[in-house]
Amino acid sequence: MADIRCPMCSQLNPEGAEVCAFCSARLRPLLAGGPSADAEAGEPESGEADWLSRIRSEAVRGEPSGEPPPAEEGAPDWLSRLRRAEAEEEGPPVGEVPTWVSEAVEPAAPAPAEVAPAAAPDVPDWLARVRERKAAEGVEAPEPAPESTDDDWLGRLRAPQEEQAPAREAPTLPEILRPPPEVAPAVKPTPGSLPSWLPQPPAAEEEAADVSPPLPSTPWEPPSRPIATPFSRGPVAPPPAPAWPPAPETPAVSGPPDWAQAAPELAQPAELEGLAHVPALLPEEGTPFLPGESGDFDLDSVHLPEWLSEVKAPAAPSKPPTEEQGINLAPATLPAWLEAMRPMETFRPVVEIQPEEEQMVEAAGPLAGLRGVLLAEPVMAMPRQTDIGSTRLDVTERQYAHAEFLHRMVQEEERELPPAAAARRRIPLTRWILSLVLLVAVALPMTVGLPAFAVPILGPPDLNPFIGRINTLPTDRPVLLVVDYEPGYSGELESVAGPMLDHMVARGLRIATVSTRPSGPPLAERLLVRAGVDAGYQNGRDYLHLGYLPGGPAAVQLFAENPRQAVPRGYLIPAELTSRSGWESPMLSGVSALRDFGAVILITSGAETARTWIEQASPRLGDVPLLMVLSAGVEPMVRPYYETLNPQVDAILAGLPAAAAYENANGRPGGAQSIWGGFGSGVFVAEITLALGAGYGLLTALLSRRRA
Amino acid sequence: MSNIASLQPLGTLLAALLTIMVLSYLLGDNVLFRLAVHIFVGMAAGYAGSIAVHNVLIPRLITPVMTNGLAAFNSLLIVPWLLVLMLSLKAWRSTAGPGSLPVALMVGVGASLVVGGAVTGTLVPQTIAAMDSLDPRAVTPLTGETGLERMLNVVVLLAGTISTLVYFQFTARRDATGQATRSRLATWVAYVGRLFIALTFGVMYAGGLAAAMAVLAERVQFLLSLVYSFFGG
Repeated sequence: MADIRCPMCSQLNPEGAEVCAFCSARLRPLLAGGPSADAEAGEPESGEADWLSRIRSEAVRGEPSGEPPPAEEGAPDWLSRLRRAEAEEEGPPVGEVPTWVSEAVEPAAPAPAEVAPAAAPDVPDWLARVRERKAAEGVEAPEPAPESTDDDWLGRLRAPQEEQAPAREAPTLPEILRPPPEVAPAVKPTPGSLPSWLPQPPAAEEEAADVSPPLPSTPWEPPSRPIATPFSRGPVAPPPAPAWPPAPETPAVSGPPDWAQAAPELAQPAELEGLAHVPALLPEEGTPFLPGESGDFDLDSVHLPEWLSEVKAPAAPSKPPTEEQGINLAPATLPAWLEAMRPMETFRPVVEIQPEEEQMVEAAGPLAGLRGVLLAEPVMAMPRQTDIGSTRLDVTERQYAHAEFLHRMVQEEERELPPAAAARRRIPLTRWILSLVLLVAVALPMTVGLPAFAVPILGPPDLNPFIGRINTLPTDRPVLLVVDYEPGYSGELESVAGPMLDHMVARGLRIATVSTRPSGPPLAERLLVRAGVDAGYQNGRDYLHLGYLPGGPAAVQLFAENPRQAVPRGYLIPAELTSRSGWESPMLSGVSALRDFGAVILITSGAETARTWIEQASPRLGDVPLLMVLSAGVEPMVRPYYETLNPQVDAILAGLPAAAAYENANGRPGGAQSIWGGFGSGVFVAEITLALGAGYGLLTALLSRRRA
Repeated sequence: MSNIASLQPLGTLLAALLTIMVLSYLLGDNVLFRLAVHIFVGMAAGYAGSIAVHNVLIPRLITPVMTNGLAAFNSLLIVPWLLVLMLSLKAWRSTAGPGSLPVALMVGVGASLVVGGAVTGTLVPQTIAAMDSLDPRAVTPLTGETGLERMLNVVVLLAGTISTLVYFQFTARRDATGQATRSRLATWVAYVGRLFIALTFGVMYAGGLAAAMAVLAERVQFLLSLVYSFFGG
């Protein structure tokens, strides 16, 4: 036995329970015709078969199955029968078939609107007997009881409404363009079928003959008081005569019914009934009437009640209202000012009333099984896409391109690359050919002397100032030589610094070296050994290696302030200096600061190192000149410190051409001139290669552009 | 010393062999080139480490303690020792926190020195020099430029400086389409600055090419001299 969980409070209830014992929510959905409904009915067939099948059989046979039971004393017959039927709960009394059953069983029966009330086939027998009894007693027959009238004319009034209800539905049209709902009196009320509080409508001539007795005739006149309509700014003229003007031979009626007076637009004369469109409430000034708009209206486009159509044209058969007629209503013509006030498309309600067949069936809660109920979730809380333009992103083409590019980048990152197939090994012929040409170009001048490149006689304009600075250095003070380059640049910088060192050795200057790189001291030893070997320079006497200066820019600043503390231990310090520090050497006895040196010469291959020494040491040098021996690639970065009105670098020696010219000036060929031929030939080949490559690139670009 | 002198031919042979191994990169990436690179990197790191130990750590931290004992631990020695110990804790991840202090000290001091030196040693002097260059009566003391030559040089220098600065101005107003565009004048000036930048890069590339060519010529000469020494006596 499985319990049922309440969809509202989630509590378990017994299987047979219909409502929740905790929250009283309905546990079983109400589905019309569904299995649950049948199950709730208990005895769906038997319960119905008793009285309903009996009624059906009577209706089919056209005669009652038995005599009605005698009425109770002191109570009308119809009331007693009603009480008994209610007590038995088996439907109407035996022998009485309701009108709706008869109509349902006899589809071929005439339309209710065409049936005259005098025939009274729909009046139950018991009601007829009551009327006869009352007539026999001399008492004016009272007005039909509400029950009987509801059984007769009100049922017929409801039936066409139910039939026409789907036709009025126009889900595709906006609310403002939907045709107005049709009024209820689609069925012609017959005289005598209306209650007393409603005036009796006129009837046809033959129908009036059956009606007894005729009511006192009082010609109806339109009300003299102007009627104010909801859309009028003031009193308007009373509506014309109603649609059923009393005929001379027709029994007079008291006038149009109240509901007709309340809705005068429904009782307009025939010439105004067939308006092709709903005219503007307030016509615009100067708006011309379109041809055919003044009075030629399409009468077929207006749906009129059937009884009204009969009055206008009795011979014409009444057409049942169809769906096309309801939809083909002419659209209303709104004035411009009202059209401008219409809500925009974006502000129209998103939820439109759907046909009943398309409406959702509530699946949970106490309303489960019902169709077309209001949503439990507010419409505002439902996710939807707004159409308001202010929330749209104003994306330009450039931003869109960037977004696409970013999207492709992300996709490319997430894409798993398949294992790359082994690329076919290609021989880099171009690379090999260029390498071979370059090596041959560099080696040929060194082996065969061809091509020969003359050593430059005239050096760069900054060579002479450099040589002049070396010539003016004092010999009584040591020169600080900073060797700050990597071993990879030794091939160039040894050739460039060689003539300078030769010059210094020739002048007998004492040299102290230091380096901010660990590989600097050995390179300094290599330089000085090469330069001083011929002059008999000795370590510790003529030159000294202060060693490695760790700490970068901070060490340079510290060395400029107090060099003795910055470098405590030197490199290749002679054995006689027991402290292993070069500061005990007599050569540096008078040096306690950077300005005590005769000059500071920096040999470097990096622009950062040159800038560090300029920024940190230059302000503390005083009158001590700062000279630089630079690699060719660093020269453009250092030259701004040199070519100024207040130079921070006093002299520059850069590149192999300057070194070759310096050797010429010294009169002592060195390493620069030994490689000059190979250097010149290699640079020439490199320039030719660059020119060819540039020409090839331009040609390729031009060709590709022409193809494009 | 005599032992080192006897190893000189071996060193020359090793240098020649390593040179050939590096030049083998002209044929493409190969094992010999990578082996030579690994040797250079390893030797440089090992040599730097040995220099740091022999020239920095031993004379500054060990020698004072070995010489004077605990009496050497004054404020000037305790602080370096403490910083060294804290820095050594960075070898382990769990104790790497205290090691950040000496690193932060080094970075902060280095940055302050670099910035201060750049302002006082480069920015202000170069700005003053650029302003002084506008004086037509000024004469460069080192190059001796004067007169029309100097004026032309100053104009070129000024145009290059301004146009390069304009090129690196990356702010602009947005037009109606939301796209940031420069004015026409700024576009042209920036284009001139772009030319100056390209010219500078070209000069630096030419300098680097000249330096590399000098190194190549020196290495080729070294190999040829070695060949001559073996075969030519």
